Amino acid sequence: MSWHVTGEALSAYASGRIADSDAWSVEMHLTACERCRAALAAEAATDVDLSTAIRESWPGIAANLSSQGRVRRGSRSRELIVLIAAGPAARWAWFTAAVVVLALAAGLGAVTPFGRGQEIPLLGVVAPLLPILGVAASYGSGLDDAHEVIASTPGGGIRLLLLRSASVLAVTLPVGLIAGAVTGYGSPIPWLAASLALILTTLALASVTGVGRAAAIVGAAWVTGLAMSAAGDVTQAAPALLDPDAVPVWLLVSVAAVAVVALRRQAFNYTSLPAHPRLEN
Amino acid sequence: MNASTMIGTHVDVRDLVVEFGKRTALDGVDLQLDTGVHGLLGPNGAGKTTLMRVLATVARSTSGSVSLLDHDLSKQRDLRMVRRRLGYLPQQFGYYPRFTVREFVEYFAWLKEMTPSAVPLAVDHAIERVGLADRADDRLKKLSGGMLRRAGIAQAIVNDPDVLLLDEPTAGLDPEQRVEFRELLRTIGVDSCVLVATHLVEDVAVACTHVTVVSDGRAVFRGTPDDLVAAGEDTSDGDSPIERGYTAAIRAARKR
Repeated sequence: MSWHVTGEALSAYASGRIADSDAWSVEMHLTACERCRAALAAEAATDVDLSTAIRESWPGIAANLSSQGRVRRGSRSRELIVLIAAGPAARWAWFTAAVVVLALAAGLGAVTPFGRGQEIPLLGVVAPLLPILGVAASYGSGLDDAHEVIASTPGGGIRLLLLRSASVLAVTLPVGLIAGAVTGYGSPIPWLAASLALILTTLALASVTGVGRAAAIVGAAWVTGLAMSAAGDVTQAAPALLDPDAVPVWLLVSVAAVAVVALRRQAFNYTSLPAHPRLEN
Repeated sequence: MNASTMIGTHVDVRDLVVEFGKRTALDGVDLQLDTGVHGLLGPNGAGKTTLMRVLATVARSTSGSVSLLDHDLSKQRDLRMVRRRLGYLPQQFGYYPRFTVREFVEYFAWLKEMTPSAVPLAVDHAIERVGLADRADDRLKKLSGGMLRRAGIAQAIVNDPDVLLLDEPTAGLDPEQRVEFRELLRTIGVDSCVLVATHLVEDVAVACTHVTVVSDGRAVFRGTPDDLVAAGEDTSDGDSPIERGYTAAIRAARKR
């Protein structure tokens, strides 16, 4: 607010001595300015007749007001809550699915031997996949019902994508950690590093192919890579991709992917969905 | 609340071509719009929705220039400025069933990067303007089709847009709501550029100050609703004068 009603104008307004045109601009300002409303209330309180009139007529006015409803103050934290809550990944169905899948993977991985005498740690395989699927579901995949309007807004690009990716990680990683701790999976660091690298690679690739396709490509590459490394080396306890030695590589991949996302951030300004000729009317 | 600060041409489209693969959806459209309520008429498949999507910065042009609010849409930095001043209601807009009307409109207020302190009041104002104040805290899944559409209109106008794009906004509204909606359009059109794509000729006749008729990817008629009525004086096809004008404009274009 660049200006405020002067004390003079306020007292003239309170006592009804103000010119009509000035009264309009004062009222216009008052609807938007809490400070001047407070000043006016203080001014009105000094006038005995006026404050009596306000006190007596208020119950009648209040009775005719519709209820205000659940209005929440506009703040940055409220903004984050609304933007994240709108994403499909924030829905209970998705969250439940993630928990169930990880629990199953952890449970099965603890009891089932895979391959030729070697165990593929199922939790380590599945846990890095889930965040990718979550991001794909939350953004630009057509699963977000309002994508068409979102694509026309300034805040619907990379900012929303990163926000939703972070919220997906915030849900899946703790669940994975708990599942690992309960079943005695061992160090979670290899699969955490792989998770990070995979989700960032998905985002980087998404700047070219769109989020849905990027998630499919990265997910398929992960599964194929694991299968190949498991088939290739029977002597190792875990596939090379989930070995502690692979952690620095995953971190390097992550850094490279972040660089790509940063450089290509403008690509997220447009929806990755194809134009819908079927909507054409 | 932001006052309209726009001077000059709100929408300036020159020789716009949009192709989907081999199909040409728009074939050299020129369009200049200022404040007021503009109707975009045309048969199904004429390219109305494609034009709306390009203006909404959702679809990209194959060639030609598009500038909104004196910003060239091909410049990324300008795109953000334009999008803040834009309101868009697509023909099929998705909604979140679990959200209340207020949360839904608030969601788009945030996406349009409005000032945090201005959001609650702007949201309530928009909901009130579309006549949903008494349903503001109802979940969207409980609303009828007409109410949903009004919630959609509320999200489009929450930022007091300088350019408001509405694709078939009256679908699902009953006659009385249609009358109220046209009144709302006129109010917004005083200092914003409103573009309404519709196949309902009577919407245009009543609510619009200007009409553009699109056919086969081209703008074949531009003028006032009265001009369109005058264009149909020689034909007898159509139930109302303006419908006759519309038919005549389309026919003349096809003969060419």
